[in-house]
Amino acid sequence: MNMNKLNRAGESIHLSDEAKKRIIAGCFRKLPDIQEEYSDHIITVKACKHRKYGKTAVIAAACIIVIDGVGLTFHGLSKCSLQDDYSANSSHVTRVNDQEYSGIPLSIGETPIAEFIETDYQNNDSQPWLSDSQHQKINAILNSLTYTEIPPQDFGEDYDYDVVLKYDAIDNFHSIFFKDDIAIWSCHTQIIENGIPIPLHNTKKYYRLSENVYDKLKSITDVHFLHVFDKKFSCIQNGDGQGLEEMKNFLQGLDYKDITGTEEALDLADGGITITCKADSYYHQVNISGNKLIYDIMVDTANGPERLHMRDSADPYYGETYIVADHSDLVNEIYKIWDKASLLSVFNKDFNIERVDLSGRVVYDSFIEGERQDLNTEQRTRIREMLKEIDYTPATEGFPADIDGIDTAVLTCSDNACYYSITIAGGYIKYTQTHHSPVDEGKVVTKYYIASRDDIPEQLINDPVKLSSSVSVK
Amino acid sequence: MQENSAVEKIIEEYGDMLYRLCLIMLCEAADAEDAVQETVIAYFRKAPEFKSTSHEKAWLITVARNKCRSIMRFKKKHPVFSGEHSETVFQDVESTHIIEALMEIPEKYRLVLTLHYIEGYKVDEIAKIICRTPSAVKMRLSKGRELLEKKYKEDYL
Repeated sequence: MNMNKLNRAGESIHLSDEAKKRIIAGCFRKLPDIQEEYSDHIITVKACKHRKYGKTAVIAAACIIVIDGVGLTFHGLSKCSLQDDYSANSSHVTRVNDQEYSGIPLSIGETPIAEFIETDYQNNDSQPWLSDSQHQKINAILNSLTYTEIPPQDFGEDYDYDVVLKYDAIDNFHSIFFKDDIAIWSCHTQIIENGIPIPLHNTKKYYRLSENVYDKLKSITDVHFLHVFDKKFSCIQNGDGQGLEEMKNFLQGLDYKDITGTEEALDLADGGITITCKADSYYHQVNISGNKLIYDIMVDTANGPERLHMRDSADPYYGETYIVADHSDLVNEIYKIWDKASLLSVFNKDFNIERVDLSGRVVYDSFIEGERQDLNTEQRTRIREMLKEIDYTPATEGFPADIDGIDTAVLTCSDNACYYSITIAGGYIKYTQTHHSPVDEGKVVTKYYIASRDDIPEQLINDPVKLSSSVSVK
Repeated sequence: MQENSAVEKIIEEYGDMLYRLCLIMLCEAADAEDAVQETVIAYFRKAPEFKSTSHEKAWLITVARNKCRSIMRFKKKHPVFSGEHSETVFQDVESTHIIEALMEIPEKYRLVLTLHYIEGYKVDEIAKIICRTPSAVKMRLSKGRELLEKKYKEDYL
């Protein structure tokens, strides 16, 4: 195919003038610093909720934003655990972009948010969760508010909600409850039972609204967790023991800085080492890239740990890493603590291929053409180079279910007492690192990584033995 | 009003480029607009000091790619919000088909093909933008070309 055609086709894509206006209007709305310049852009918020059923009974909410009377319209439905006496009427929350709406316009800013409609969330399984763009639009509202933290004892739990905004961060959710000029922020991890989300872990913080500052919201959704948990690392990935205690102390002793949005952040790909720690109900995941230590906060979800704090609409690097501790000797320090050179080398993808087998089973002695034969140096080098080109993603909670049982080839790698297995199966390559814990001799610890099949050379997928044979013939 | 001008200037200067990238990545005009908007917002909130125009452009591309991935990830988890393909009107049918075929191939190949053939980036430059080795980029370009050609022939020839 002539790629000039692709070039021509691509260059024919342009933003329409109308689209440009929409984008620019959105920028004005979301950039508080310049919003005042556009005070004629009237932001109206419509919200609805269900109340009356006590503090644990709530919650449904929908919002519509109308800017300049024309149109950015959305709604989101939030739901939470419902009490037995819950009975909603059949009022219906309209879907996105549907102008039919039975709420009363609300204003943010000086006028309290204050009107409600009954919402049928008995049948809300058909209602979608908020979309990403909707979150961002909600954020636009929330960003226009300023929050001043107030001690929980000054507020207490005995409140009723005027509005609830659900802020879905992947499958856990954040909620912001408003009561007069009080915003209560909470972060939940949830499970779904009979279609109803049940909060597992709930952290509430209380804020009083004041001036308009974007960074306040950011502090709620992101860095705040550093303060909440105060870096109370408790390593769980590799059991307990003296080495892990040292690791915890080591991590806590580092100074973390937020590099969100900097060029430095761009240079930090997924870290080589992953250390999963736990503080209360949240995981703190530490990755290493070069000599940088990158710090993430995870929450439990139905799909395993997910990053908690990267869902802020202002975050340009969702899925990347942000909070970094500089430490020139970091790798050495961690190496010293964990006392496992292989742990580092394998994460640097320094594979040491020992044997290859095509049977679909993990075996440690390979037989080719009926004769036991180890790979020679050249074969190992060739395969190692291929493996090193592949991008691996940590899969700390194990492999996707559909990978298991459909292995097509297994490369077993060995490094001293540790061994690594590369299994190519279905649409993935899964990479397992197993070693004996230095602090608990005999205990086998396994780490899992996966990589997309698209990254894997065809030779490696289809017939690694043939590959090695061809090298051998050469 | 100064910032106003700055926003419009960025949109004017990079809007088409970002939109092309986001549209090809997301296959939906509304999502692409959202991604462009969020990228521009990130620019004003977060952008570091740029060494050059090319550095600035690369930064925007990287942020846009992350925005697109965020949207794609969400839509994967929440398929109810899946949108329809772009309604972008091309000048000719062939262009429409080529872009549609491009949208059908995996994201990683879409990205490098777009950056290389539409935006004119060299392999080394793409490698830096997407934090991969030049050889990995070459591999993706090679495989991407194969996939695109295959898809195009299957669907439109």
